[in-house]
Amino acid sequence: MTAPVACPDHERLSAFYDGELPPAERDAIAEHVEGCHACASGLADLATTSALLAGEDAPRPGEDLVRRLARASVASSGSRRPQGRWRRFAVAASLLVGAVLVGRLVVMQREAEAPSVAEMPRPVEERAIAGRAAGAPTAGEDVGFSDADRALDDRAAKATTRRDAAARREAPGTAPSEAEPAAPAEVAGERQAAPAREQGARQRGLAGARRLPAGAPATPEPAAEADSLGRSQPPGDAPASALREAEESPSAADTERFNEGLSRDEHAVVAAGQLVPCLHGAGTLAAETVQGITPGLHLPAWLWFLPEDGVGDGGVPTPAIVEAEYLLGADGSVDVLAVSGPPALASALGEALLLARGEPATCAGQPIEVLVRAAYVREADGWHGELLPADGQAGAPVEAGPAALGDETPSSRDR
Amino acid sequence: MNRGAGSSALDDAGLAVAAGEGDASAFEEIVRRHGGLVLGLATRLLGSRADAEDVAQEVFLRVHRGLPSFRGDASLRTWITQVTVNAARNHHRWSRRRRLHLTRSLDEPAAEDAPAPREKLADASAGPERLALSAEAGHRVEEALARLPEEYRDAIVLRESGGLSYEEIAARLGVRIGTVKSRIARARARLQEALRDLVGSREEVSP
Repeated sequence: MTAPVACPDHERLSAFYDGELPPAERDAIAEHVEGCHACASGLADLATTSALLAGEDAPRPGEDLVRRLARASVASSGSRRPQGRWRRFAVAASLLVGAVLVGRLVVMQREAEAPSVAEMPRPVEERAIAGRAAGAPTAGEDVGFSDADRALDDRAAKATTRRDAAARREAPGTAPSEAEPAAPAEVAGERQAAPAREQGARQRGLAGARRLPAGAPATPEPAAEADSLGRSQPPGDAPASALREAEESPSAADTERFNEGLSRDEHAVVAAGQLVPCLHGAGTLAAETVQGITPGLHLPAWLWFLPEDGVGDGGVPTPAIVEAEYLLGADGSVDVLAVSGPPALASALGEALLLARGEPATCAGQPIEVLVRAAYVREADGWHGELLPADGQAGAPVEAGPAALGDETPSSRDR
Repeated sequence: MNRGAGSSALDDAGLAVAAGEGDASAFEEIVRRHGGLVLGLATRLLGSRADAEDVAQEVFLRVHRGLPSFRGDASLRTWITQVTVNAARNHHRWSRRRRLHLTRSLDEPAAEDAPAPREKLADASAGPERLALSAEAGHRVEEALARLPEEYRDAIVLRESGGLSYEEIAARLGVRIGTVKSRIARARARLQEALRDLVGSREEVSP
């Protein structure tokens, strides 16, 4: 569907502009226009013509609207407001923590019948991860973080519960995740090199994650789960029972809360991430700043986002991966470089974003590994957290399954 | 900020650079110059001004973020148009678009009874925030409309002024929808041809 489509003739573009085309054709033309300068220019001419006919010199918004739009953009873009930047990053980082927890909980549930996870060795690592994901909050900027973190813990637990519930429903052969890749795969095929790998990772991630409850292999780092739970549960609260508890009440309200927790900011970040591959190939997004990080680092990173209606026209919610590289500036700014992703991103605006940040590739000469990648998937019954395989196995067959999932736990950073 | 006075004198490329470097007044000028395009287009695509304002917010947010990497391989206007289409397409209203509210009733005079189409057009969409067409440009638009074959003019007036759907226009004029579609497109093509300097590439012209 993202294949280069011939330019619509003037009549079709005109009808498109008037909203008079059937949905499928309308989508196709919109998608085309997004990548075709000539058609976009023609569309702009149509709008200008309307303005002229309406007696306007040029289509212009009122001054108050101008100021409102300009201010809102500058404010929420925040590329030059360190506070906003940090806050947004904190949200993303807290999402990462949440995702880590989701992954843990998934594994945990699998082991619920096994020895109590709570009794497992305390994981030093998990804390380190959480700490790093959060960065080093600077004074006055960490306000919302712990709250967000707690909220995410909560959501993570619920999402996981639902995810597992869904996975169980998806008895072998009926799993939508297995049937669905047709559309995205076809999309990936139409594109250049990198996306195929991402596609593979994505499919594998989904399939692997869903397979998890059925599969047996234990995570290499069971200890970490205990900690993540320790952080999210009151002391003494058995994680397994907490899970069961959550399982009993996956209400619509929970889903609602989870959705609401995804702020407009995150949405906007998603939009920006999606914009670049769509219109400019690789590019630099507006700078984001993280304070308290050593300058001069390269941060490989992944922006995950969930298309509102699934990738492309498939209608099956599928997490998409945008690969991005961050460059940390000396002033603490973070530029997002070389964003790339499957072409389906062009048509998929996610409602959720998880910025699963890789640790710096190098930091003062020390190699640092990607810790974890994860995503949320929205399905009919709500949101589900997914922990996805590490980059090391990207491109590996879907069969990677649970083992790969184990691999991509944070412990893999010593790989 | 201190460059504010000069922003309106910059062309789009200059504005894009300045805004990309953080000049807030340059960004504001971009919004001023292209906000109407975004709103107009989004209103058409989504069928609602309120939704269009949502989209405009989103568009300028993205533009603001994207400016530092805007490389000018397309004009700013073209790029903003693309962002707008994308934002509209991702708007929840996209798939259940409502048709524009009619700005005039079906009982009002049909096109054949409307001898002064341009006046009506101006009336129909006049709003407090509209910027009046200069006398000369207005005259040219009127002239261009007048030179259209009547059946083209009827169709475009009913569409642009009346906000009627193709189906309604077809019923009104007693022709097939496909005919309406083609007449409107041809009317637009002719108008654009006649008003080329007013329609296209406005971003190249410094006000």
